[in-house]
Amino acid sequence: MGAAPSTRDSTHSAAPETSGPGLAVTGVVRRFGAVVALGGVDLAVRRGELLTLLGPSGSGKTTLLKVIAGFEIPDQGSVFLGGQDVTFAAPAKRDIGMVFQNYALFPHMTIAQNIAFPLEMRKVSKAAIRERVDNALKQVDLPGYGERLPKQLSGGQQQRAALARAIVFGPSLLLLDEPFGALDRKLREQMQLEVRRLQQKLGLTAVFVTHDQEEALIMSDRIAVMEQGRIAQLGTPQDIYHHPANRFVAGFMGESNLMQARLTGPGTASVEGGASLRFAAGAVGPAGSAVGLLLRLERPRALKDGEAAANAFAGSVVEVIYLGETVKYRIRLDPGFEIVVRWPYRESGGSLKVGDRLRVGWDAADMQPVAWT
Amino acid sequence: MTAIAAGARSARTPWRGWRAHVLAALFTAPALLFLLLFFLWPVLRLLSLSVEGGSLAPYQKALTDGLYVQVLFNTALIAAYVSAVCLALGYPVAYFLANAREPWVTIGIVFVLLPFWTSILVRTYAWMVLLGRNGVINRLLLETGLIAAPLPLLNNLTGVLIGMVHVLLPYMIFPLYAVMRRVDPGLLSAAEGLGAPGWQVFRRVYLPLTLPGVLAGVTLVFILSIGFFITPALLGGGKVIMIAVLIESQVRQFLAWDFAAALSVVLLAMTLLVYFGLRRLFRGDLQWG
Amino acid sequence: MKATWKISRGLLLAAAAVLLAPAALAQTEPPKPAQIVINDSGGDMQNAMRKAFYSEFEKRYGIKVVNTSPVDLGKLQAMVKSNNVEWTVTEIGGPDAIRAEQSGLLEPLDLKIIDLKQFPAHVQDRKYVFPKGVYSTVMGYRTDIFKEGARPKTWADFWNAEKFPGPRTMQNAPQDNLEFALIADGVPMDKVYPIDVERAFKKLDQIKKHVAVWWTTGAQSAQVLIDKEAVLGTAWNGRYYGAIKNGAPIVIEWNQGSMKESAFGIPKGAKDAYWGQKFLALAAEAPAQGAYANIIGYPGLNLQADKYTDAAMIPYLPTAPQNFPSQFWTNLAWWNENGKAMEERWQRWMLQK
Repeated sequence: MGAAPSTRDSTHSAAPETSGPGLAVTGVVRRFGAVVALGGVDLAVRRGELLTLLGPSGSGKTTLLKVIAGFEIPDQGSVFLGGQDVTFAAPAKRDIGMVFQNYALFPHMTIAQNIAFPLEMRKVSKAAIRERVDNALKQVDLPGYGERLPKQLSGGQQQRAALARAIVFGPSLLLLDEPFGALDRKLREQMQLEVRRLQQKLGLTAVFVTHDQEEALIMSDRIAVMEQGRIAQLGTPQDIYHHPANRFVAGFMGESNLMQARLTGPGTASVEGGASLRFAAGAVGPAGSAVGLLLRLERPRALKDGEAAANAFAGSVVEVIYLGETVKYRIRLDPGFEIVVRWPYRESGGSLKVGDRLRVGWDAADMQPVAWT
Repeated sequence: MTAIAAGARSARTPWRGWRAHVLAALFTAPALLFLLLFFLWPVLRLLSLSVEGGSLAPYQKALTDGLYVQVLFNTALIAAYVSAVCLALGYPVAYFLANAREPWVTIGIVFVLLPFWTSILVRTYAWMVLLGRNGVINRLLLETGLIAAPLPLLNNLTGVLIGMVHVLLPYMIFPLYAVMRRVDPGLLSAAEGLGAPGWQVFRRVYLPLTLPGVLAGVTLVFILSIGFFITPALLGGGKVIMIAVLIESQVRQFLAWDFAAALSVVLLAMTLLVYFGLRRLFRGDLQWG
Repeated sequence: MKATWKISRGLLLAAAAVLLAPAALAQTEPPKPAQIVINDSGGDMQNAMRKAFYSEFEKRYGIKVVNTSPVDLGKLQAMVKSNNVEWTVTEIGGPDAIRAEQSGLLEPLDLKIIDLKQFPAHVQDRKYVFPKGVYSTVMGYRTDIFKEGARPKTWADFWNAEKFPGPRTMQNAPQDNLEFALIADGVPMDKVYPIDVERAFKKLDQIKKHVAVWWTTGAQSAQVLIDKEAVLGTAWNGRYYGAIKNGAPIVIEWNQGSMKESAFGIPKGAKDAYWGQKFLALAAEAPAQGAYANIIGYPGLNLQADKYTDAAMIPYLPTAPQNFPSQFWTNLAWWNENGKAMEERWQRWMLQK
């Protein structure tokens, strides 16, 4: 903790920027022995915003959530809630509503008692509790379920009850820790939309933790992609998806073609096999330096005879994977490199077979440069 | 994963239909047979012994004679004291064991089990050495000037309670430990996160969740206490009379099996009454289990 | 099951016939079992009997003696009634012996095998209960508390808490205590029986608050004095002897002690009962009885046993000439008749504050 005060001082100036309601995390470091779980995290969540912490396991998102909730005290750095420093405040004092992965409903209390719990802890009057519990049950579409025990509810219903319990007391921050991990796909998609709708309706500031990039894209106002205890990129879903800051983010945000290339000039680079590729302009380094070129699967198109494109190559189909409405093709391009494309089944042809020849092309704007390191 | 609330309650295998019933019956048959042979049969024997003379006179005596009613009451009272003290001492120990890391768990369990490895008579005599007027404890306290006269720790109710609690504490700790191990720590985090201060987390969440262990421990200790014989006789200086002593002398000295059996049946009934009474008392808190 | 049972019974009968026929013809003794089981009080008593009786028996007959304990009349009855007698011989205490005899729980003694001719005349015609020896419930006290010249000598002294202050210990049972109370109240030793129960309990009321420990086991009775939980008490003489031998500052007051006979019996239906008789025969011999008394301070009733007893041991025996006349015999017949009622009354009395 020796360096802590200076770190805290230096980052203090960052807090006012997000002061007022909202959450600010500044310079947070948390080590477990030799393992650095959080290596200096700065994060500001605006009021009414849903921000997702996205990352693989071990990336530090759980630790960050625990620091925000108060279950972990950071070795360095601070946490501000509504402009107030709560770094060392007990979880109970933070006024945060939490939804846990396994719901964490108290099995010995009825649903109504569960939802009433945070209100009782805040010494709300009996009559007001009854009203607010009923209201919360309505909001999560569980009216009439108050007298049941958690075990008498389905997984989705339990999750709704847990959500009701987390929002019933009007918390200044809502934390959602992989809340849909235990639900089946269909239910998960439904819940994602519902939670999002409720969060927006109530204007709740929320931090959402997940390792599922699709879920992050659906739910978030902004996404913080975490990698090895740091925030690799912070931005809107569109930003992150289309302009990943680095190879890691690019790789994590869905399937894509990521090619190592060497810069040959402004907006041009050469890949393995010698082919020259043109990409969206942007200063990414001096000529001769390494760069990653990102090409989403749905961007390339099959070229008709005589049709031109900034990047156009002939090649042959190596592999066909049916995905229902779309088909994935692995195509070996003649200059000597491969790309994978995903095309709608109807248009591009369920007709293509392994060995078929075709021309493929994409625009310079379809190809994003990302830092290779 | 990002699981603060770890340890999902495992879903129950949905076994349905007669096949599951047959299988269940097959699996429980040996245990049932064992119970039948070694519990039910002796109990029935006891019942038949108590009415062997063809009258209910032994029961009438057991239930109306001031001596036996008083001693039965004393016995239940002492059993209740012992259960309460065991609970007060055992709960924190079980909590420690359930939340400690290795090797402390193993070390702790060994210490809890230690009393089991010496005979009850040896343990009782050891307490006599420790608790006496000139025993180790009193001498220590006298020499350090903490007390002016020896504390009456032996040959009274205090001595009996100390000795019985020592013997019975593991029976309280292990049911509690088993239940506490299963408490999802995520629930405690959740309670804390929802604004509950430490003691409210305990009172509203941890305590109710461990209540089945409390009930099991109290029941076990109470039932075992009721049958205690040698420890109260030795550590109570003869002044603490428990029903087992009277039953024993009826059999051993006077060969009055019918009366002894009647007393035993009354004792058994009392035990069952206490058990079901406790269950009923906690029923509201246990139905989720 | 039924078939098996028949076969095994048939086999058993055949085997019995084979075994019995030559025995009956040749009039020889039954075959030797590998072991016999003797049930005793355990502890020091068992150790002493092993040295004095069991080892000798094993040496003489080549039959191992296995021991169980404790002495338990209820268990004896259960064994006999269920026809599943585990013991070859068992110790029996005080009034229990009479009860066991009356309840038909014992095999008759075979006086052709057991020689009681050197015993006092009044026990020579014993039918069921073997007169093993004599013990006495006596007064004992700590010599560091009661100095020479100021020591309790009678039960009246024992009751006198002003002149002889300090916590007492007595057995948690009515037997002996009722007698001592009457004697303390002025009843002569030979007029104790039949016991005036009312008077005895009234006298006991006076001592109750001075009794720190009502002892349950023999070991406890002496330990209480050693630990100074009490400074004055009652115990069976051998218990005090054991403590004195180990250096405890305790003295036995034999005056007005309550003598009793200790006994052995052969449970009815015991296997190898013949070898049980042989064992009792050995236990009746003077050298064995002398050896036993030397170890533990409980003399046998063989009048010749003195020859085999150490001179230093004599003062610790209830039967020694200087001790014997000042004591009285417990009336076991009275206790057999009134024991149960007295036990209940005793417990009632204990419950009173």
